[in-house]
Amino acid sequence: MTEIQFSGEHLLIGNVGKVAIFLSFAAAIFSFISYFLGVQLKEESKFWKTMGRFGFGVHGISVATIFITLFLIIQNHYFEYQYAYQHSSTDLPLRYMISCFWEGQEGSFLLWMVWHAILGGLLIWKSKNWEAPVMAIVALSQVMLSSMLLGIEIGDYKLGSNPFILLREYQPGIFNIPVMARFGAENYLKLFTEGNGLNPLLQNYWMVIHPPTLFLGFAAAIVPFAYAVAGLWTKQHKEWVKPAIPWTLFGVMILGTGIIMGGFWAYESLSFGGYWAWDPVENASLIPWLLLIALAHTMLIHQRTGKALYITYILAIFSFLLVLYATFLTRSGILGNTSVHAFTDLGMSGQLLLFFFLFIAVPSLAALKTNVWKWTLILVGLTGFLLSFVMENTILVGYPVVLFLFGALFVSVYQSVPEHSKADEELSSREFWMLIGALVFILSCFFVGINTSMPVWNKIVPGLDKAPPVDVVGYYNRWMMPFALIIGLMVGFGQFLKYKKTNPKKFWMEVGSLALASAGFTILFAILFHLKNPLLISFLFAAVFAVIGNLVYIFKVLKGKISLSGGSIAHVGFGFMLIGVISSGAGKNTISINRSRIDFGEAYNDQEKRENILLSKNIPMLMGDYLVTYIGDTTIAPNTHYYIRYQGYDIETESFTGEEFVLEPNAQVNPKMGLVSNPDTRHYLTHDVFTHITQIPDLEANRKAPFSNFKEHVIRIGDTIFTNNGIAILKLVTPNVNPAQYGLEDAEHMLVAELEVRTLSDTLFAHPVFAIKGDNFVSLEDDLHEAGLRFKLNEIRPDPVNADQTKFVIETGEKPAVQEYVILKAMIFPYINFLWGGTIIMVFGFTLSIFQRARAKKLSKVQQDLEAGMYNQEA
Amino acid sequence: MKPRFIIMIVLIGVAIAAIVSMYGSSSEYVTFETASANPDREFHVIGELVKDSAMQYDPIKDPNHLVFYLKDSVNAVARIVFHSPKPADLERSEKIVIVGKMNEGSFKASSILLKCPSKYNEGVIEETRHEAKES
Repeated sequence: MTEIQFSGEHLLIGNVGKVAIFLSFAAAIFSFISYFLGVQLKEESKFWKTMGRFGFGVHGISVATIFITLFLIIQNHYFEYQYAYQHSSTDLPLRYMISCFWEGQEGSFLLWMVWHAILGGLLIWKSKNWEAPVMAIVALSQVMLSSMLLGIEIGDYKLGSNPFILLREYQPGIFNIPVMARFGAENYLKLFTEGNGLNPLLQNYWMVIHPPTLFLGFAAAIVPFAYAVAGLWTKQHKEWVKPAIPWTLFGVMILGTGIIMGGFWAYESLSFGGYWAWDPVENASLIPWLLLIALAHTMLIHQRTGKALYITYILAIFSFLLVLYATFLTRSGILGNTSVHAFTDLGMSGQLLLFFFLFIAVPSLAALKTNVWKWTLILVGLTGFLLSFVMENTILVGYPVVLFLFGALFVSVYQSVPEHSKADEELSSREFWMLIGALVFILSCFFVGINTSMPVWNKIVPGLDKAPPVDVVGYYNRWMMPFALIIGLMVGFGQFLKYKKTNPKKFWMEVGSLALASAGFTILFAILFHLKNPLLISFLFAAVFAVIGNLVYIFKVLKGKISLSGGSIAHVGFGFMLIGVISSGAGKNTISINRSRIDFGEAYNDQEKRENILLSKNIPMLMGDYLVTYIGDTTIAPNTHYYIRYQGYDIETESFTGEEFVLEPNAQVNPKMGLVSNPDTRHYLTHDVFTHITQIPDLEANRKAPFSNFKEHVIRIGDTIFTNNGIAILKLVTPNVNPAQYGLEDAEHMLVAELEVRTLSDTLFAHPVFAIKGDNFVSLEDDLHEAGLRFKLNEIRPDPVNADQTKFVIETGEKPAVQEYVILKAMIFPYINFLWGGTIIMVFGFTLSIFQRARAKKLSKVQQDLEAGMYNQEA
Repeated sequence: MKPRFIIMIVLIGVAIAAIVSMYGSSSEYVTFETASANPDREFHVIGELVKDSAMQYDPIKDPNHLVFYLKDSVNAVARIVFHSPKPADLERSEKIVIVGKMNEGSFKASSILLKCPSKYNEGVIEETRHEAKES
């Protein structure tokens, strides 16, 4: 049997990519082993470190090669590759091609690897004598990640999913398509000249930058993990925290930015009208972030007081474990019935779990002191791993093994920590309250985590089949608000406490006056936001207190020294974010309330809001403080933009306020996804007006509907025809100058009538044609589907005396007019800019803080003096 | 008592409260029969659209009133009322998860989760959620 020579394929580039994948995998293993030996064999450490670097260098180049080749395949539309065929199309603009990477699983893992490789490079450059142990961990994670791209089959088991697989390998069924015989199998690519295309929801500016930011945040979580393991491994328990702090702050900042970007994307381009819905996929990125914040704070405690080491270890380890867990949740398809985000299960959940469990075991292996225990751990882990392949009921093996792994982790790290100095001995110390703050973050993470994991519990607890709460958003809000309230308060007063011990008199004076000032502002804001709920008002107080406390701290204690104020500025930003959440969340107001209220005779109570309104073209409706009119639309394929005019209107005085703007939400009826619509928002400093199309009329169905009720009218120029859908005036009849336009090149005589058609909402023109060709005559009707009217010029009866009296026989046909309407939802988000502005301030604060922490002791000495000075003046 | 113990007790207390609250406020996947038996409770029902029964949606009359029929896992059919515009891909859906309660013979849905065969990812089911808002 001869092999078919397929024409038109570009196999070289894919082979380069495949080789790069295997090379990246092999080089990561080599790098891991070298770095591992670099730690274990102290005498030859230098040699093995060089080897490790070499391995990681090769790995980095391979990862870059994979990334570039995959991008080139997408950019050049090589649809012989499954990845390009499935995720891209020829009409995709270049700026969205990068988004194809994160539509598929393989691309996401690749992106993660790229970030790890870059972070690894920075670590090699900066981490000095921590390099070997830290990089061993990074390299190990790269081994796991690159195995996800291998795509090799071992027996029945497929290891990884290769992004360079060919379409014909992935779907051999294509050769059975009947039409294939005509082309010949070797020319199969002639049939695949267009790809499946990128999901229109991903074709958005924010979707180009949000996923990579989020993934960088995820990737950054490995650094504190690696430092913690390095600390346990080399027994430098006191030293690892300091170099890890800037990295942790970096992770918090980037992951936070990524999460907020996702919220902003949802707000700007998704239909649900909001920025956060407590969707499992959103929560999955939130839980590692909450722990990273807790970690950053316990690290600071340890840095300044030497306390809280155990919890810092545990948090550093769990932050990364939660990143892995979040990846497992979102990528394994387990969220199934609970999430709206679509992710494919590529059969890699097993590999993800292995990654997860391996990294639970790694810190224990580093921490355990005797080889007997290490081997016991490895043996139990391996047994569990192997049994999970053979046993039908993996839960039976799973429970004890998983419990053993987690138990080993907690116990081994606990025993490893040299002294357990207590951070909770002095109630008036800053570290005590920072620790409490960290614990609140841990609790909130626990709460979000267990609820998001509902499908996991259903799977591992026999007989359990629970669904998420009916009112998901309300449920989460009720729980998370008290957490946020406590955090806000502590952020406000925390800085006025000193490490070790605080002078209580001074503290209460300061904080008391701050609380008073905050109460004043809270009342002001509460009036501004129309808040009445006492719980919300106390939440608002906490947020205001956080802002004011830190502002005062910056100016009074730190004397406005920007370089020292990173932490406090981040806190101010956080406070503003909370204020924005309260104002936009509690004050969110749907103005598109349907007041037509037809009674359907069913038992619907009056409270029920019906939050979508139908706007007929050119018929204004009163919505909130606006008179809203749908004034027209333009189609810029594939989207249709609808122009919605808002005019400020005062009901009391029945007059316009002068405020006027036009929003352009758009929608497309996507053949693959149905109605895809993008909202448009008018941004004011104080509020946003959000408008989103929820339904448009089915124009296609109307176009196909037949005309009926035909009538003939004998009229003169200037006469009017009356129809059910509007009136038509015959304006003029002219000989047409361009018969070719109508395909009537050989017509001898030709006339075009112009009728002005006035419907309820519009004025349109119809141009029916009458032509004579030899003995025949041709009559071309003009259909105005929008008006539901057809006009046909059937006959011309010239008046021999007076040309003005010539009569025209016009036939009309009717059908129900297209109701030109849109159904939309409009909402007001008051003061949402506090949220976005707060985010920017927070990022700025973090950036300062990272530089401050990375830049040595000098600054912290100045800071200590400043803080000490403030309290010593009194004492 | 040392603060350490108080903190521990509070921590464990809140954690247990969170677990209890999760268990207590969770809903269940049921059939229409169970939903009818408990008319005031909200449930999740998983089912399929009955394609040959007429769907009622006239946006001109009321854009927030949709009626369709759903067949649950034991082939019981119920009339579903959803106070929101018709989701564009309702007809294409393979599986529908609705949240809501039985009310005088009709199931009043507060949220609909549609699972449609994805055209962008072969063999993948895509999901969209649609909410009817209530005060």
